[in-house]
Amino acid sequence: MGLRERSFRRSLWIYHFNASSCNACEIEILAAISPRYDPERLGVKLVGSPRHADILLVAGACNRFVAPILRKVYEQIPEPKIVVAVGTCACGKGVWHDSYAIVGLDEVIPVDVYIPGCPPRPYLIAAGLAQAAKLLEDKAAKVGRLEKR
Amino acid sequence: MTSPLLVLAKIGAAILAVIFVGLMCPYANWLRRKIRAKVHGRVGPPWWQEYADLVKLLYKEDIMPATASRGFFTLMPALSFATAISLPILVFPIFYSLSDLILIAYGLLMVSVLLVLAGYASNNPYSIVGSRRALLSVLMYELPFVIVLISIFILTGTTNIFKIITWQANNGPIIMYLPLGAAAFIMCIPIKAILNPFSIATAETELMEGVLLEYSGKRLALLEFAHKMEFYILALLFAIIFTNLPWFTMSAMASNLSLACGWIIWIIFVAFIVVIVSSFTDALTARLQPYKAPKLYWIIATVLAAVNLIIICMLRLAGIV
Ligand code: SF4
Repeated sequence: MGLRERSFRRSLWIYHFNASSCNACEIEILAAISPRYDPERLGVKLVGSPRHADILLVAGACNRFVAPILRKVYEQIPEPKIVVAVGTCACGKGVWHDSYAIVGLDEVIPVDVYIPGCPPRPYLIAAGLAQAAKLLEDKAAKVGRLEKR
Repeated sequence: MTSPLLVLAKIGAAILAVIFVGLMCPYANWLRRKIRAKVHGRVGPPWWQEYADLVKLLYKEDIMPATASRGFFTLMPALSFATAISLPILVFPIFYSLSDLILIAYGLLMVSVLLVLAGYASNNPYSIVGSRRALLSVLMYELPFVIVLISIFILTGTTNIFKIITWQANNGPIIMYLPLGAAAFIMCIPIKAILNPFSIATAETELMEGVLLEYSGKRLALLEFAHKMEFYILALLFAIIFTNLPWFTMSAMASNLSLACGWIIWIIFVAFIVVIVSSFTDALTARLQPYKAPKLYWIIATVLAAVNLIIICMLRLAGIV
């Protein structure tokens, strides 16, 4: 494991996006980054700008208004990046599966990690972040191999 | 004096100083994060966290925003990095004509102003507001900071770091003469390093990182590094110009290597205390509203520095110091 993969594994900067969630998932995300679970041990840091982020943490089912904005935010994150969907709404469409207003998250951006639950427990979110770190490392390794070629 | 061997030794010492401070400044920032975590009752990041962050940023994709002005967007991070890595050479007494308070004040100002320009170069509305706030903070701290430097000049009669160190060795540390000035200097550190009560320039919650908003990848790494460097350099500068112990004169250190090592250890020790103090204020306070910070600076810090300046002038006129 080279320096590149190691650093990606251990430094996760998260940009948190609310794609029309009911706010309960947001509260659980805040609980997950609270002192009790302390994901800063894993190198997690919440950043204010998508340009700095490695992980896009999305909660909510993504309605038609938010979809283009979410797409834009996703494209602004520099590679390698991972998308983590938090909550049943973001994983499937949840209770809004037949709503006219809802697009569905994975039709807008490619999602890498799904964290189910309505809302998911904070430790599930922390576990999802740990999984996202592994995926980010793999992606960084892939980018490294492509660059070498 | 100017034998080629001595010049070579000095160049080697300069390179060592740059490498040492370059490796040390992420560590100082880690200490800040760790203290913050401890205050929150958390475990906090492992000690190599800041290094991992910087290395990761080097490997991230580098995005050039469509709205940014291309030349400046590339130039500003490079320039601020270059300024930052030249600061250790100025602060440590290595080259006689370079170690000067005025030059250091300019170097530190340069890093801040380049950050302001970097915000303007990215041409994002949030960054521009952040740049305005950063410029405001430059105006805020520069006044008390310069007053402190002037008091040191009046006290010691020189702005040269070599002479200031020797003066302190002969007459006792400057912090005894300038306690209020030292307090004003400590107050300047959080705002120069954009730490918490005065982190109004890169307010991550209101301005989305402000000036740094559009930067990604290598450019962000360079800017962040310059920023971390500034924080640690300020702590070192405080240690050197305020708290030198009696037996560390320049001439004694030039001939006695173990004494020089002792001086370096003492300086690093004091710098760490300064880092810890500013970390605690960072962890224990919330961000001030932008219009409240100037009042605090212009009234409290400037008055502290000015009162001490007046006292020093009077003592000097009376011939006591
Ligand atoms: S998953 Fe549940 S808690 Fe989360 S946004 Fe949807 S409805 Fe709200």
